[in-house]
Amino acid sequence: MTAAQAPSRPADPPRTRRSRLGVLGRIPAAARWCALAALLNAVVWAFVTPVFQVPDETSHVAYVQYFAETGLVPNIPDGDGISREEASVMDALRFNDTIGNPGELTIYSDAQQGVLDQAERDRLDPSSGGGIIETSGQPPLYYALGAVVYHASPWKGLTQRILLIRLMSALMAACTTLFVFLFLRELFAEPWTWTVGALAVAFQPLFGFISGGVHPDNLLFAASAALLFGLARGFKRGLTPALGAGIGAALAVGILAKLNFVALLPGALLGIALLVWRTRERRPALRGAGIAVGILVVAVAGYALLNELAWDRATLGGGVENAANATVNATGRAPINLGEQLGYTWQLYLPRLPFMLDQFAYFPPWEVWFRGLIGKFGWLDTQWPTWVYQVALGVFAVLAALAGVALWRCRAALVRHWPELIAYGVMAGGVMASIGFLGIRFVRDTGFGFAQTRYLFPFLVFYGAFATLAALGAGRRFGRPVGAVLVLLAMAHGLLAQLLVVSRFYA
Amino acid sequence: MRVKVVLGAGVALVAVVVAVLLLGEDQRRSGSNYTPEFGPVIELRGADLHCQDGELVPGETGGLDLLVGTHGPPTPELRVRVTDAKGNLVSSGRLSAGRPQGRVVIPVETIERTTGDLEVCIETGPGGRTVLYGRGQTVRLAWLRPRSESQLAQLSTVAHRFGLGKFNPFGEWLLVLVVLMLAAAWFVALRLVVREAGP
Repeated sequence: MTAAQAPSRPADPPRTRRSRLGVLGRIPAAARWCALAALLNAVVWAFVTPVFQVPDETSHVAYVQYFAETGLVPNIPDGDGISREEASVMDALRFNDTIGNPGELTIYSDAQQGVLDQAERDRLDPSSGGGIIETSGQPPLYYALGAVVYHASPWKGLTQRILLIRLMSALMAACTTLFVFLFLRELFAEPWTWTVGALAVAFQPLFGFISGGVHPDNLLFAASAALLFGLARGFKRGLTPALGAGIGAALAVGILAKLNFVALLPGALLGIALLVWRTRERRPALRGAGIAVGILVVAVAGYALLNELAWDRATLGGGVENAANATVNATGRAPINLGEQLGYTWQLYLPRLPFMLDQFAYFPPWEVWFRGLIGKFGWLDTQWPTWVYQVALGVFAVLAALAGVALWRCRAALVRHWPELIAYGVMAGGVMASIGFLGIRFVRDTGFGFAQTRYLFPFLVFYGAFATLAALGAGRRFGRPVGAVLVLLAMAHGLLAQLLVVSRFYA
Repeated sequence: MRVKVVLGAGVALVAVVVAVLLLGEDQRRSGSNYTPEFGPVIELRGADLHCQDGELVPGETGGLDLLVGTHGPPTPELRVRVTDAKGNLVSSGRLSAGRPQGRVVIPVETIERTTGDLEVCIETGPGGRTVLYGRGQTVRLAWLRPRSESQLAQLSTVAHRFGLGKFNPFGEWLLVLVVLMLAAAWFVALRLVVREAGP
């Protein structure tokens, strides 16, 4: 399974073609095809999901628009969270009537479309937002890229611009899939498995759904996949200055994409340190590590300077509790003690232990993570009947058993790769702990649930690895056909999810 | 086992599942007044009348889906009258008494085109108390298409709705374009699996 086994690599493309394609030419053709499939699928999602019906899309659009119109991050105390233009478009789309009401269609008549067209022609004060909302504390990279698309758009209507920014998100999904493929290439010896894992991610419905929306998660997913690919490559081939630059770029993009990325940093830095520690040629590895950390430091310093000098807000923008507290009044609450914090975080992922305070009215591993992975769309209001999730659990159990068999077969290699696994474990632990840390505060202040499956999607590479392991677990004779079945299963899963959303909003 | 055979059988199975889903019949939504059923908004006593004006009734409507409470007894006769601003009758319908309380569908004469600024009146026949649900003072009016039909039969309507509310230079053809794009994604993926995982 690992690099130790001799891979039967397909022939490289002719040199002339490779040099013509530049860096792209060094990417395996299969990876590019996987990225194309992901791009097409995400574009389909961009059209299928009605405007603003991706979680928090209203506030992400507000950030993009305010940034594009003023060059500032939204930071006005008591200001309007969204522009008058966006508010009028939301009204015309009957957004407040359809969110949370799966019985409601999106707009269905030409008369309603006429109201929307008028709102888009009127363009009521597009720069009038800027108030502090839940996204305000987020770093601005995704929104800045969105602002470029916003201005480059030859069409000035808000729904037109939103579609173009959604297409930018779809491109990011293609990048994520590409990095998933490259990550799997570092882990598994057999080339066909890279395609199986990457396509399983490309058609994952929740990933596709988010990829079709205006959402900084898309840049976060791409940066996280790139980071994990970089670390995996380093653990397999050694850390070089060039690879260090790549890892540094991934760290910089991630930290400027979304605050959640902070939770990956301890594991990433540990991974870089382990890469230096285990190498025989210490000098290039040290240079690589220095470049990676240097790029990260420059990015953070630049961001801090912009916050202080240009945007008049805290040095690091949001701060660690911002994600939970931006929209709520967190003052006057009793402090959360360590026992509550640990109990909440434990129960997010595991069954409650007898001495723990019951923090949930439901079982999060099932309700949040598994059902979310199978599919909750719109603002979590578009779901399948319960029996669908139960059938999916049966399928998942079979795949988990197959993946378990594959892991058992390669247990010796796993032991050899302990530094790499520790780095990944610390990254995963950091993200899981941060969800618990922020979640308990959000729930206490708002009464609403916090955790969503997409918060774990910085680890989409492991979703791909899971599919790959399940195929390998079927053994040498059945591995490839099972891999084909897994890809088809992912595609069918995605298609049924798209039909569910179409039926919810249009039928 | 050949990968091509596995994929071929799988695609055929997916096609069958999708066909079954698309051919399932039901009386489907034509639209609503976007009022959620937060709670009771009006209680009619015996033969009584409740009217709402300024209503938009969607085209291709042939029924009104209404949540009705009676505190236990069967529902009274329910009548619906839809009139325009000048008082002209646009549509009407009735449902005989004797249904269990809960969701009822009152069939109405088909309204072909979406029409705004209408008055919708719900009239109860003799009997006990009848509670209607909605938000504020507004009863939720959920309109249904005239007959039970499959999603496939409703395709042109879905294509029309799909083209609304978004950037769409292609009109009702947008849905076709999106289906073609998805087909292209499937083609790329299947071809790649055959190439990489073997024939």
